[in-house]
Amino acid sequence: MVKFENISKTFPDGTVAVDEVSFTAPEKMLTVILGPSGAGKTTLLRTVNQLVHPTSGKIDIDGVEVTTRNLKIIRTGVGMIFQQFNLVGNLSVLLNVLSGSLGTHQEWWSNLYLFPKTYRLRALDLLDRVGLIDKVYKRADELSGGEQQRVGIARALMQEPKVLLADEPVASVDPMTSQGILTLLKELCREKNLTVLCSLHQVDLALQFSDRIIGITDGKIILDEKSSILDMEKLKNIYNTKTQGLFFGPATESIGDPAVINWDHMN
Amino acid sequence: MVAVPAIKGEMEQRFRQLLNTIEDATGLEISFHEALSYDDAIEELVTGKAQIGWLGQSAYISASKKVDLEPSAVAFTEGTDESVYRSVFLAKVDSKLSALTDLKGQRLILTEHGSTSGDTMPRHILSQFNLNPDIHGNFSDVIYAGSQEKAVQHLLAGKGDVAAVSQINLGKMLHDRSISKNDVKIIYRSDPIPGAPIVHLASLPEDLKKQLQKAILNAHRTGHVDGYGEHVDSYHTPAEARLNFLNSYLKPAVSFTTIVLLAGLVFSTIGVSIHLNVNPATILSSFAYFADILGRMMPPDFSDFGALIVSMFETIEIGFLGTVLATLLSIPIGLLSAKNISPSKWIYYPARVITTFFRAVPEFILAMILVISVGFGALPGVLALGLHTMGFLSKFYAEEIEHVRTGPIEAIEAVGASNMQKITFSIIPQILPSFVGYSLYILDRNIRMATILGIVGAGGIGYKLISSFRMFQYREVSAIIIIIFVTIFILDVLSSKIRHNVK
Repeated sequence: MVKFENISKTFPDGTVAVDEVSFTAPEKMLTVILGPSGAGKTTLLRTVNQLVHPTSGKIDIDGVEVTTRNLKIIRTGVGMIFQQFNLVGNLSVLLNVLSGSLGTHQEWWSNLYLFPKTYRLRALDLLDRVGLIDKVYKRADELSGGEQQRVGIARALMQEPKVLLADEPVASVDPMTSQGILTLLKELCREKNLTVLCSLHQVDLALQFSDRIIGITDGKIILDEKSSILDMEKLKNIYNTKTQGLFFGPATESIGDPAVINWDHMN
Repeated sequence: MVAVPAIKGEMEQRFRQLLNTIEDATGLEISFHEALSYDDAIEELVTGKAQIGWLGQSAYISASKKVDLEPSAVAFTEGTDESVYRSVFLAKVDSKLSALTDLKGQRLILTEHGSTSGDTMPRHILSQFNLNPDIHGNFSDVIYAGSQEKAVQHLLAGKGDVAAVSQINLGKMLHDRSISKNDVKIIYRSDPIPGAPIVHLASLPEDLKKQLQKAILNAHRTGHVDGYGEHVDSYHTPAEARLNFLNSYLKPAVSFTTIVLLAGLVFSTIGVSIHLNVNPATILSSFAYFADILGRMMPPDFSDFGALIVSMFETIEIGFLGTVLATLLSIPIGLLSAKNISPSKWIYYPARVITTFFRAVPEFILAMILVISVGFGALPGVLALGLHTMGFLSKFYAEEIEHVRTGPIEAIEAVGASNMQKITFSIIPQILPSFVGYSLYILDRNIRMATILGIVGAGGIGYKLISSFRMFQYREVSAIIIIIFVTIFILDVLSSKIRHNVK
């Protein structure tokens, strides 16, 4: 469970990225944070594992305020997957997943890429769970985008997290693969009792996969409802008119034909 | 208990011995039923007609969506401590098919809907080769034979070109000689598939479930057991089977190659040190001499400071001119020695030879030759640096050009541009940042090297350095070293700043 209480973030240049956000994301639920790019989704997610320090407000994970604990302990319990996967391309798939356990495996020999056998078996188990058991010894950059994101998920699970942050997990993969990745996230959310916070900008995917949608625009929550009772009209409010065309088809008003210049007569 | 017809008509015979043992151990009476199809077997568990089942892997997964099942035990193959099997793709021995990539447009035989080894797994494998039996045109025909045995018979009868079956059934057919090794060939073997568990309804009473599981796990201690698989000899918990499956993917933490390479490195380091007489003890015992010469260099003698600064400046000028020369020469030679844009191999190879030659001959040697031919002074230094680093820059540029993205070249070509325009519009903009970066690096390097070139008479501060050395003016030597150090330090900071901003 992650509880946000009046979280705000103002960057040094004066940009207000997140503005007085409060809500609670329960466990075993996939909470989607939906909004156009620049709405503050990523900043909000990153406050949970303190990659971004909020200017004001409080975040609780299972009743423990994150700022009262050692940063390393907090981060060990929070898994994160990224838009660009952020795998180490020239390490094997297995080592990428094993790197997820570095928060708990801190012996000096971890720096020789060595891990206890139980860790390696657990990594194999997770890789089998995400469907990549046959690719464990390949270099991570030899995999397709969707496969790389699955490795990213396995790496996050290797931490045995309570909370999983997914920052635009399907923005870099094709629509078919997106479905697979989000299905997997939802299944894992139930199987491992995770609190999943997933930022998305695609309305259809949010409706299809979320248990609940938090809509944000300009850093503020403008919608917070169970996805089963949401309708498209409400969702449209998330996007201001400027970006509407991008998500809901072309703008209806035409600005008219541009003037035609006769270039041939100019020479 | 119900089982799917993985080996038609033989399932009861396979499971009977296990059931007898369970009956003996628990006092229960268990009836056995081989279902007509995979779907029927699932149905019997869903309706509760059967309470125990063996379904194969994919039918187990589909059944789990409809009814709450619990796995109780998995069969291990004799002597392997593992529960895995494989799907194989078969073709007739005389068939021209030899790999899955040949399958497009052929006739495919599958066993039965819902079978793991004869349906689900083959479809999964084919999808990795971009083949889908459901898409029209991928295969000219797709036949469900009805059973594993019939699938092989259909293949032999020529009703299809390739059949996907379980390795276990294939092994059995070879064993009972219903087919011969000379009839078929395996064109693809799947990765290991974990064997399916015996399952029971989760709704059974807890103590009954425990009793059943215990009896199955202990069956091999009290009697002979069998089941679906090649020589099943015992049953184990699903967790144990899972662990063994994962273990089969585990490689040693440190690979043999790594150990060999490390050992080789250590061995050759020691060997070469002995051969070259490089002895760490010598270094330690030479400390006294080292301290002596250091002492004689102190304090530095800056009495000739003005003249030293002038020489230092001259050295910087030599490095600068050398770099200008190298850059100018390297543009045409770099272009001509890039494989992708060089006009012909009669130009490419000579250009490569020239760049390699000047890179191979150290500037020190070049300078010595040039001092003899053009006399003492700055000129031989400039020429030596220019020619040597031309070799470097040309190679850098050629490699950069060979690795440019081809998309933009194609686009410029497509608008009807000439060859020269292609270079100016699509290649040069791409390599410009590294062109500037490399040139600045070479400038930095040439100024450093110019100090040394003075030693062979090519002017600058190096000349002063060697003169002081020869006259045993060690205190002046240390002053010169300090001036060189400060100059290089300042240059280093400047050049890294500039290169950082060029990006």
